[in-house]
Amino acid sequence: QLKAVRDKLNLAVETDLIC
Amino acid sequence: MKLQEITINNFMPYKGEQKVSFPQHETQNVMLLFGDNMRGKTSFLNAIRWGFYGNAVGRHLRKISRASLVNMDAAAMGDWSMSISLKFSDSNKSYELRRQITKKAHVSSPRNDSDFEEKIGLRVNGVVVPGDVIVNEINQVLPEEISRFFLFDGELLQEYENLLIEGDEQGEKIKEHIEQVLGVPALINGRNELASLLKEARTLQAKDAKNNNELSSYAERQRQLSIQFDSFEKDLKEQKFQRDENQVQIDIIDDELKNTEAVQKKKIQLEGLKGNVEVIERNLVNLADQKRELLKTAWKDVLNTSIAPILSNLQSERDNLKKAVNNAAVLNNKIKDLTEMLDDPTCVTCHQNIPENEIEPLKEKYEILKAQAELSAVNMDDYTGITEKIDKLSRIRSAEEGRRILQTLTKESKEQVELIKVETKLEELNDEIKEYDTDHIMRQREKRDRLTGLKSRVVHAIESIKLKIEKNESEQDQISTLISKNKGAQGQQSSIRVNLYQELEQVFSQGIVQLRDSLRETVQQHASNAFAELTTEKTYSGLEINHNYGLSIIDHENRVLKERSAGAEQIVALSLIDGLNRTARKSGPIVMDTPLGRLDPKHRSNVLGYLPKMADQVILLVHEGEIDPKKDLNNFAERIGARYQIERISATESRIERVSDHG
Repeated sequence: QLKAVRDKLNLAVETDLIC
Repeated sequence: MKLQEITINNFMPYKGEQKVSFPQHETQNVMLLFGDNMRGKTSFLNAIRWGFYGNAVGRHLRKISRASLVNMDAAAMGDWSMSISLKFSDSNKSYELRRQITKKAHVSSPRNDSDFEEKIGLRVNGVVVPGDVIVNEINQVLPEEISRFFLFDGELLQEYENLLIEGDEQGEKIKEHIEQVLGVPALINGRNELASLLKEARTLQAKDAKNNNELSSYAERQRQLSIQFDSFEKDLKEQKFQRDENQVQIDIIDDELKNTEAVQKKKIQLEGLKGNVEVIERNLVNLADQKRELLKTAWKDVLNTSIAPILSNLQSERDNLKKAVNNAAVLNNKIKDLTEMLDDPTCVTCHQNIPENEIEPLKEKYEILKAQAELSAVNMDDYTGITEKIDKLSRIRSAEEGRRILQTLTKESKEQVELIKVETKLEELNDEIKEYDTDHIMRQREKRDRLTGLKSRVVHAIESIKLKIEKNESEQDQISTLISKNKGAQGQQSSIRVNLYQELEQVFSQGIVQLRDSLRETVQQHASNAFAELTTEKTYSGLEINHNYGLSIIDHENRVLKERSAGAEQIVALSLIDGLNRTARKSGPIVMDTPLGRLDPKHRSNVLGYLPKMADQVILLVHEGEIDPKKDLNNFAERIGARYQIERISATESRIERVSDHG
């Protein structure tokens, strides 16, 4: 408790890229 | 990270070379350094701080100049060099760091920091690290920004109370440091840089769209928004610069006012003394008035001593006259009786004739009484005269004016002595503060008030510009999305780039909010656990965190405790530090100066029991008033890995001696 935000917003940006 | 060894050379009271080894044991992880006040406990903390970061701080976190860091005795003998070497380990790497300052050759008596030359060297696993990356290497292990949670003065823990004050400058700075120890800046920096890259990508996208008839109007609007955005950014930068400039000026004035605090106190004392002078002078005027009033009738008191015997004589004379009058009356009665008896010689009592032979003696007695009556005849004019004199003299009797004047004079001389004392003190104070321009201080206070007002207006303007920027970015986002959705632009490199940056920026922006929320929750949980072990009031239900990471105590009925003692503040601050260290991404040893100063025996016992659990290494710099080596050490003897004592050599020199080795 960044990846969770990406999943929640259902974004296309790769987790590998999520810098 | 674990400290292994420090070598101190000519640092503050530590003359020559002195080595201290830190405990490495997993459970015997506490090092105690005992020392009386003024012997060098804070200097030891500063030696570690200076070794890592090249700066040492005094009370109120003021930077100590390089010249003050060199041992005075060594400097007096011409040795103006000082060094600190630290050996430590982190993540299976061993580090050897050495920092040294020496006086520049052409300087005879150094005063400024620039009169010294600083050298720094670092080896990692025995390999020399290039000079330009040493600072970054150190910051990878224990960044300076978060060192306040590892190297700290227990006496200053109350500064964490500022986190509970909305808008407090000090609180804002501490919050920034807290977020640094928790790793929030990685996301904030990421978000800021992604926003900058997104702006660049939009410009490229607008350029591409300009060549597409369907999209040229969007491209034009995007261009306008971009120009507007730049203008807002410029305004924001200027306003922030203005705000920071204001803050710098406010800080400078605050520093100056802090320095003149003592002067201010003296000035207040001065005003108080001036008030005292006024009171004394008023008292003296009143006493003089009283004295004048008393002197108007004081002649009575002066005559009183002369009048008293005269009055007494007159009164006894009058008494004698009274007696004489009474005697004369008695004689006259007797003469009257005898006259009657001689005229008619019968006894007045038994009415018998008096024999002839007894008449002769009666005649003789009559003559004697008559002679006596003539001799004791009283002149009534004398009596009246004496009575009149007595009346007149009685009217000028005093009301103890003399005694009262004496009292007044005693009071007056006491007040005059007091006045001399106060005026002497006034002179001394005036001398002490005459080099300070008290009017200037007042002007600075007024200037500070003006700057604070100005800053508040600037902060308001910044908020307003930020809202405009937000609106602008939102519209730019919408246009970018519209362009990206256009068939002609889909698949274009510029649109793909914009989409990526948009999503990344969104992830980081929302990530910051999410991370802060979860960090606060985690810190609150850890801090509450620590607090439960540290507090002696077991009915408290825990701690509650605010958005600044300030902690409030919650009582058994879930109410925030409004007032808390200095000891409670220290316990809460320790709980916060423990919560932060358990949540933090980096952990280090805790070096704590005077950790138990404000605690009662029960809290002290709780803290001593808990401290060894707060970090892999705990170094406590204490005096025997805080930890009694005979009583307190028994409670956690199994946790002590090393014990040292600071021995006084002279007023300017101390030595660190190892006392016993438990490790």
